[in-house]
Amino acid sequence: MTICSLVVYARPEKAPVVEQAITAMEGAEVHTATKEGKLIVSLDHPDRTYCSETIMALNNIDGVVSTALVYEYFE
Amino acid sequence: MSVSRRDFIKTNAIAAAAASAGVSLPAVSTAVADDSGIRWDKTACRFCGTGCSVLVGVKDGKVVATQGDPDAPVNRGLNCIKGYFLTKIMYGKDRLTKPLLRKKNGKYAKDGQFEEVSWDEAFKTMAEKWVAARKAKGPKGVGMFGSGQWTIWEGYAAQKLVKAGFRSNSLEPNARHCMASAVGAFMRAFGIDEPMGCYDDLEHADVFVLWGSNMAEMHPILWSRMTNTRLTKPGCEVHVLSTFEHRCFELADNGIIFHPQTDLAIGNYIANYIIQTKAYNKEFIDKNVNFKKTPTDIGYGLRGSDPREKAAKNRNKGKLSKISFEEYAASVAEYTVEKASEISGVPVENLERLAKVYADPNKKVTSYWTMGFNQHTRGVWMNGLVYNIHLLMGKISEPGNSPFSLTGQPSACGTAREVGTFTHRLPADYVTKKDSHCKFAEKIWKLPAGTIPRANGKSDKADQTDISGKPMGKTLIHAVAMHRALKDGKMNTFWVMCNNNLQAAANFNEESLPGWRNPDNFITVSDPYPTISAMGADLILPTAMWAEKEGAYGNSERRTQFWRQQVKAPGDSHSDVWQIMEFSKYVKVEDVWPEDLIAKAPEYKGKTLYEVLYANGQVDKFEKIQVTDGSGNKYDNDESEHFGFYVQKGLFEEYRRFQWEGPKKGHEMAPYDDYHKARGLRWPVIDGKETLYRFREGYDPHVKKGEGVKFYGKKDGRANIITAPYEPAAEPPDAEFDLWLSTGRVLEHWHSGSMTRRVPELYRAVPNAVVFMNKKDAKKRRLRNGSEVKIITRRGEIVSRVETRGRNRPPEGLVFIPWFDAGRLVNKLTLDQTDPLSKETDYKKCACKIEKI
Repeated sequence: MTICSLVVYARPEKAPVVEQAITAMEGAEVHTATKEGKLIVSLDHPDRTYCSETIMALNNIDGVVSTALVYEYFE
Repeated sequence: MSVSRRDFIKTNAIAAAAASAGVSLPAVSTAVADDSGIRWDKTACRFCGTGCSVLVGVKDGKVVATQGDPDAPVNRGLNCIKGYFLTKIMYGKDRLTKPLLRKKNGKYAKDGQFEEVSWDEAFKTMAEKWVAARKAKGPKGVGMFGSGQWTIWEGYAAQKLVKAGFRSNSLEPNARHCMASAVGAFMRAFGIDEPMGCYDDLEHADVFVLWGSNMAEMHPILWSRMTNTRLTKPGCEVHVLSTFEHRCFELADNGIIFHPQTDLAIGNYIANYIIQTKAYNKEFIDKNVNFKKTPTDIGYGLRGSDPREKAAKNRNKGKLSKISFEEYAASVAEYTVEKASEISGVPVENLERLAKVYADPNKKVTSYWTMGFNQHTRGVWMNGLVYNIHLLMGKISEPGNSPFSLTGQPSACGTAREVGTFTHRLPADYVTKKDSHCKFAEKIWKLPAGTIPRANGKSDKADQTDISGKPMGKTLIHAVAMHRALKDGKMNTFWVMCNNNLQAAANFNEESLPGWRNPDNFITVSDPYPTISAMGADLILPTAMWAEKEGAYGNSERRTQFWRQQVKAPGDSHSDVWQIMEFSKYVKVEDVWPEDLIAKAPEYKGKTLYEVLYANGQVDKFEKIQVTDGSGNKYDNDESEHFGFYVQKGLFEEYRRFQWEGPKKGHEMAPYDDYHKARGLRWPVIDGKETLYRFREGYDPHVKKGEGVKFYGKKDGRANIITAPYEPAAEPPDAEFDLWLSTGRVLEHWHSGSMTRRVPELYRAVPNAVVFMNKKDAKKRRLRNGSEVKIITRRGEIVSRVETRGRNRPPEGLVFIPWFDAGRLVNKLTLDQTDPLSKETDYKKCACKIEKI
């Protein structure tokens, strides 16, 4: 299993759409979204490869400006 | 795993992310000590010049976990996608574990097949070739090509081996392709290398200007910090300048696409705007600035036989001459907004918006640039034009006001620049063209005066004698010239370490490959993987990488960071510092020094270079110890184990004497052991205190009370504003080759991809290099997204696929191809043009055509 957390920055006007898109991804949760466009996201999935590919997919969502990984646990 | 433990880990993960982003969450439980038997320790990331600190978790001798380091001032717990996969770079399936030599019938043969050999056979063969080449062809007969990814002591050990041991200045780093223009401009403007500001500007500035820097993909953590400031600081603006649209434009308030090479006109226009509107800071200029001009029409660093070089009036010239403020103002007066707009293709309103933020005394402006400026046939000029703007306004050396050159490699600053592993440099900004600097180095290294070859081959105005008995002659040779010398048979041995220069150097077909495969030449490549360079070599040495050795890097903001050896290297592979020092045991002083030099130091008679350079009572003076961290965890140090002393500490402490004992101040670093305790320190470090902003009273200990600002790298304490005009590129498109070709990187891959292409996830994400192209250009050629095409230049052709909808969106008339792909070598296309002053290659501008297959 893999658990990781990320900080995602979105264009503020697109943040709600970005939040929806992330929530729709398997294993992804948005814990907080600030009005400036900062989203705190976690990924929880049995497959590490799935998680890494999801992180890269996050970066390609329209409106996402930056994605940074903070924590990863895998076993 | 129990549900509660899973929740616990998840809660911690979320809390860590929130803390990194400065976001508050409802109450979360705090972290407790890890009980899973993982040993955690800090390391510096192996990739770009940002210098993130990454925590590495080791269990049973293998790296099992990583985490952005929450205590690191650079990345504050964040990690980019490459950093996420960092530890996987060591576990590619095709790691090299034995030296491999090309052989036929049991003997070395240039046209032989690679066979496993012992280190002893490898070094014996190599030493024989090196000594013979050194004797027959003089100081340029041998060459070493190192790296901005070398650890500090690896660069330092190489510096000693080549310059003092082999008495040759044929030492260059791949940073020549990457940072040389930045260095040239720093030395011309300030007399001392590296940025005056630091990453704290990412929070302090009101306006960010990215010039030729795709920070979103190449420095993602700096980009995250900048994004945070842009989204949370009222009035903050981001301006982005590039020759094509990339990821940074998503945050741009003022996105500017200019025609290649015309940044020169834009830079001069901004200076002119500041002067015309009288916005400049007269008091600052009067006290702190000199005005200079530089020779123009200087050529393009091509071979002397090229017609463009023959036509240049002042080929390679850069000697500055003094001018007045009025003369400077007159020199930029022609760059009106209309003219700049006409040359660059940028609308007037975008140019004016940019000029206004620089000219506004109440806005703090930080400019960032990377390869767009440096890989430029007028790179030194262009770096200088931005300094001109900042100096005119006095927007420099204080929080938020910074002209800041970013590096692409983790230790381009720490090793290549600070240790000075360039042909013309010595540690701490000393240079081989100055007899006194060489004598200073010889004193520290306990060598007879005259050992190090001077740039002009003369010491105390007399010819230095070479091993051949002839005068040494001129000794400097830069990276691009090395490949030319290999092709021409003037250089016969070449050792490439910690980089992939056969893939990275321009003009593969006409210069690099013929040079490497020239039957007279013996090429050694030290590499963990069978890269293009390794396959092009005659001897491959398997290398321990990154966390398999104790290391130190220096990042873009002058921060020196150390790490301990975390795991063992596989098989018979050894670190670069091990290889350099072990090889030196195979060469005797008599093999490379003339009798008259040995006579000056009879104690070295019959000694090996190892004994002279490393077992010299200084480098070997620290006993090997059990490396232990503050929590009592123990670590290996394979080099110390092998050589019998604390290798890294001995090299670093000898190196540090260059910073503390010479006449040049401002480079001081802290004692070795301090760095193992800190998350890096920004030099100069005086009395244990790091320096955030250089040249300004209150921040920089070298600026005395009452001095305000002092550019002490220059004798009179003044920086240079240097005027330089717009001049055209070497190979603009024409009727036949009708498109500009620009090359560069993508987020998922680092440089030539030798590490990141071995991480399955990154490979799958971006498996091949594509041609980013404008839809209209595609349509004109009856191409569509995904079409297979031939890209052709005057030097070669490659096959790739068209991408019109990707993350990079070029304007009409320009295509962009990343260079990571060993299967599509974009350097078969590029021209080996350089900045004539910095000798740095321009990979961003040549002419190509594209044909449908």
